[in-house]
Order: sequence, then C-alpha cells, then structure tokens
Amino acid sequence: MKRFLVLALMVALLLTAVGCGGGDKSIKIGFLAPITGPAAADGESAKRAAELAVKEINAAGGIDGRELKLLVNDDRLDSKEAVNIANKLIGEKVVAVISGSYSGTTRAVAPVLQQAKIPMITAYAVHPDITKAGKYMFRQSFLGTVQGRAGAEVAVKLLGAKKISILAIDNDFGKTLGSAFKERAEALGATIVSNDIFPAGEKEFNPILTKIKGLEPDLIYMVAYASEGAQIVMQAKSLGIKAQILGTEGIDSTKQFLGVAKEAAEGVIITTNLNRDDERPVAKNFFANFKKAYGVDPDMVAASTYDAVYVLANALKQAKSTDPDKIRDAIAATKNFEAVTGTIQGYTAGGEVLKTVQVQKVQGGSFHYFNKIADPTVLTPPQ
Amino acid sequence: MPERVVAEVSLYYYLVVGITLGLYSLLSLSLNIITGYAGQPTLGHAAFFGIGAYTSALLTTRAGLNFWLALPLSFLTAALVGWVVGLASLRVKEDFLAITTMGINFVVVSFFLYSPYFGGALGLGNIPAPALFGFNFDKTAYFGLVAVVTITVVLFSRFLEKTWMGLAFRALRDDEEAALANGIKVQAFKLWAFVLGTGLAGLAGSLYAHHITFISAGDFGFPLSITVLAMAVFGGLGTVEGALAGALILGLAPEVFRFLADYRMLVYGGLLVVMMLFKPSGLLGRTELKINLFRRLPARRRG
Repeated sequence: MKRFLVLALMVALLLTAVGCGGGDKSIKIGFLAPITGPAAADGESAKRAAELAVKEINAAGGIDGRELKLLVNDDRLDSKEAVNIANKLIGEKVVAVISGSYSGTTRAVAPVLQQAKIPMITAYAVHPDITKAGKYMFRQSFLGTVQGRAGAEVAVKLLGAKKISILAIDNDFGKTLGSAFKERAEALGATIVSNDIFPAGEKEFNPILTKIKGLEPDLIYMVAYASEGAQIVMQAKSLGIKAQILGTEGIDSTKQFLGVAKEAAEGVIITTNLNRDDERPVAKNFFANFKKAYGVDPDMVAASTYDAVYVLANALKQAKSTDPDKIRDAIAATKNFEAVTGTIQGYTAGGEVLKTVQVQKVQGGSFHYFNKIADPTVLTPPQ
Repeated sequence: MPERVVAEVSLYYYLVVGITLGLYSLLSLSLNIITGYAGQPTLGHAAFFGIGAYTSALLTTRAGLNFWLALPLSFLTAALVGWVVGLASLRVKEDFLAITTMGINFVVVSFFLYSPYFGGALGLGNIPAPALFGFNFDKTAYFGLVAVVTITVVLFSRFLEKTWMGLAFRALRDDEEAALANGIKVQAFKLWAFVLGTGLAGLAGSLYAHHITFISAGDFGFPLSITVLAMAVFGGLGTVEGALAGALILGLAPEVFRFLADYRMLVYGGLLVVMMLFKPSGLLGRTELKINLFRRLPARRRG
C-alpha cells in the first residue's frame, strides 16, 4: 500500500506542475515546431525566425502599443503531442497559431484549432488537407502541387529537358510534389524515364543512381530534404552523372545542404520561395538581422516562418481587434503584402498563398537568382 | 484600468492529456501481458496499435461502419495478425524474438506507407468522432470512454493473473523448460499471450484514430514501440500497477517538463537511465526484461 501512496503523490505532483503560467495584457500567439527529435534542425530554424520577428515587431511598438507574446512549444514531430499543444494553446487564450512544424503534426492540429475558431498560418507544411480543415486555416508556403508544377515548368520550358528521372522521398512532401511534377512535365511533352522513391533517412543512393545513369536522362527531379539531398548530389557526382539536378525547397538549406554537399552542389537548381539576391529592403533586413542574431544564414523554413508572423501581425493591425473572426477575415484580405518570400498577392478562398515561385541556382557555394515562375495558371492551386 | 487576463489552462487540455495517458496505459498494459506476464520480449508493439488504428479508420471512413462496430473489429484484426505473428515467432526466443518483432514493426509501417489503399504517404484523415444515440462525443465524453476502457483492461489483467492461463504465463516466463516438463502447453500459451496483447493494442489504436482524427504510417513506427516498452519496464514488468505507473509517469513527463524546453528529452532520458541503473526491475516490477543480449557478453568474456 505504501508504494501506492508514493506513486499517487508523484502523479499528483506532476499534474499540479502542468498548470503553471502567468498573465499580462500582451497579445498571445501560439507557436509549435519540432524543436527536438528527427526534424530538430528545421524546428530550431523556425523557432529562431518566429522569435526574431516577434522581437522586431515589439521593438517597433507592437500592435497598437500591445506587445506580442510568442508561446513556443516543441511537438517532437509527434501528432499526439501536437494535439496536446493545440489544446493547451486554446486554454492559454491565444488569438492565433503559427505552425512551424511538418505536415503530419500540422494536419493533426488543424481540425482542433478550426473547431475552436482560432486562425492558424502554417509556415511551410505542404499537405493539402491542412487548409481543407476549414476557413480559419492558411498556408504561407506553396501547396505541394503548385511547387511540383512549377518544377515541371523549369525543367521542360526553361531547361529544355526531354528525358527526366524522378527521385522522391516517400512521404507526403515527396508524393505530392513528385506526382504534380510528373503530370505537368508529361503534359508539356517530356518523358519520365524513371520514378523512384526512397525512405527518409536513406544514405546509400548508388544503386538507384546507377540505374538512373544507365537511362541517360537530361534531368533528375529530386524531391528530398537537405540530408538525403546532399547524399544524392554527392553520390551522383562521384558516379559521373551529367544530368542537371533540379531540387525543391526541401534542400533550401545553407548549412545542411550546401555545407555538406559543397562543390557537388554546384550547378544544382531548386524551386523555392526565397530569393537570396532579393534587393527589397524587407528581404535584405531579414538576411542581415537573422545573421546578426544567430550567426548563420537563414533558410527557406526561417523565411517562411518569419513571414507567417508578419502576415499575422499585419492582420492584427488591420483587424484592430483580437477577435478570431476579425483576425481571420484580415488574413484573408491580405493584399500585395511585401514579405521576405516575395510579394504576397493574397490568399485563395481555400487559404492558399498566391506568390511567385523562385528558381535559384547554386553558384560559388551559395544560392543565387536564376529565374522565377509567375504564370498564374501554375500558381493558382487546384480546387 | 489595467486589463487583467487570467491565464488558465483549459479543461480540454487536461482532458486531451488524460486521453493520451489512457492510450499509453492501454498500450503498456497490453504489452505487459506479452512481455510482463508471459515473458516474451517484443519490440514491435506499435505495429498492432497501427493495425487497430488503420482498421478502425478504414471501416468508418470507407465502409461507413460506426465506431462501436469498428472498435471490436479493430481488436479482432490486430489479434488475428498477432496470432499469425505469434505462430511465426514460436520458433524464436528472447533476443531473436525481439529482433523478429522489431522487423514486423518495420514491415507493417512500410505496408501502410506504400499501399495507396491505406492512404500511402498522405495518411488517412477525417476519421469521425464516435456518436451514440445522436450524441456526438466531445473530448469530455471521449475521456470518459477511454477511462472506462482502461479500467476494464486493468480489471481484465487482474483477473488474468488469477486464472489458470495467468499461472501458465508465469510458469512460461520463469522457466520455459520447466513449464514444458510439467505438461504446460507452452506454445499454445505463448500464442494466447500474443493474441490478447496485440488485440488490446489494436483496441487502443482504434481509440487513438478517433481521437486524433488523422493517422499516417509514421505514427506507428519503431520509436513508439520503444516508448511503450520503456513505460512497461520503467513501471515494472509483470504487474498492473507497474504498467500503469510507467505509462502515467513517462507519458506525463514530456508535458510536465515542457518548461525545460531544449533539455526536456535529456531529463526524460536521464530518468530512464537512473531507474535502470538502480532498479532494473522497474518501479513496481516483479521481473526484469528478458533480453539476454547484454547479460551474456560479460559471461563470455570471463570464459
């Protein structure tokens, strides 16, 4: 019986500790990201960007004098934990939520927040169902289909590829981009000579690449994250593959991709939402401030998250209220907003962002402007 | 007048954390039947949790069945697969059984990930919350449901301990050869342990699917199997209290230590290490985990 009492005491102690917190008159914004666990690099980058944005906004006077307060939560890329966080944030009376997390966790959170009528802007998760959860859901980065189609435009129209191999990661990111790319590339007259998938965390690509080499494609469309992407370009180089490699925002990372692949990455082209050579002050300031604060160059994840916070802050100013319905309407009414990841023309009725897809090329060890895709038939998400 | 905003954590948060703890308890209790009572180490428990979740999700979203039918069917499907896996595993023991079940976890996850019927990489969404006589279960009612199921499984486990089967499990766990020599049908009871344990994991899976409303293959990976095993071992194998204590403490720890931010999982891991160092049989346990891999090494060195 004694050990039972000790146990009950321990559990009670833990339960009371859960409910701690403080209160003030700031405007609370919920934030979740995979700060630890398998996606920690992206989670940390997202967290840093969100904190930087909030700091800047508060230093500039906040929202009509009220400070923004970011409630940062680590979801460890676990859906159960993300749903716990969403409910915790609802309880803490946040006016809106920014998701700096991946698709699985964000999609689990979306219906919970939708039901509580709390607007959410997801920074860079691509799963189509996130925004389908309802009218309070917005996406700050491209839908997988849009980026896949833009990739096909780059491959076929800009680079003149006729024979293409696809190499995609086996999750929702790889799947949606890969299939949208294939559909559009074939419609534009190219032939897909191979279509392979690989598991997340894969390190050995020689067998697949040897097969691809034998097929002699003009271009390899690579939908991968930074760590796998770096391995692919390095192994492709050592196998002597001459095909142009076209990547996605998944490898838009200075440290994890360029830092690892080094000269093997030279000449790789990617579709992303971040233009490193952007001369607009909003972008230049962000690059400088981020580097100053954290000592590293920002990546796509950081820029998208930073923009998500600013879009929300702008909506809060326009709404002149912390009423979730007014905030939602203000986000939906965003027009030609100058953000780091380009001019946000607005949001579709489905909550999808309308902005230009950037095409960047690795030159001299860093990403540089190569082209952009602004064709509205490519950029408008399918309904 | 300064505006006074009272920061309160909503009741829903407690309820949702409560549901999560209930699900962990069910997983830990079901693993306890296989690993704790019958002494068969398994590293693939999450697979059966996933089979239950997918069964329930498919039956309700595609076949239009209601939750109350899908719930027992999830138990049966997971138990059936558990029986097949059990049959295939009868020839292997200890380390080899652990590795085999680990392999099964990977197979099941890839199966969900690569078959388009199971939603593939996009997962399965829009899984409905249960309803009864026109009443839609909100999180309060759902918490109640999970609590009732958990208590039922606790009572069932207690009952199991006292039955002939429970005694046979214990004999099997303590000394398989001796049990066999005493005329206990070792193979049959191993299978029973698998069927009951995996079936209950499937039941937990169904409850998970209708709670989270969106599932994908990654939710049922090997790391979850390890988390559940850690809970059962931390609390103490072979006892209901141990299985519950492990699930509650390790399930709650990540939420409680949230304020530690980056150091949260470090503390969590440290807790496990300290426990295994000072009390290898767990908080309230009767037996130690029967994987001999590490114990054999020094013996060999001595010889």
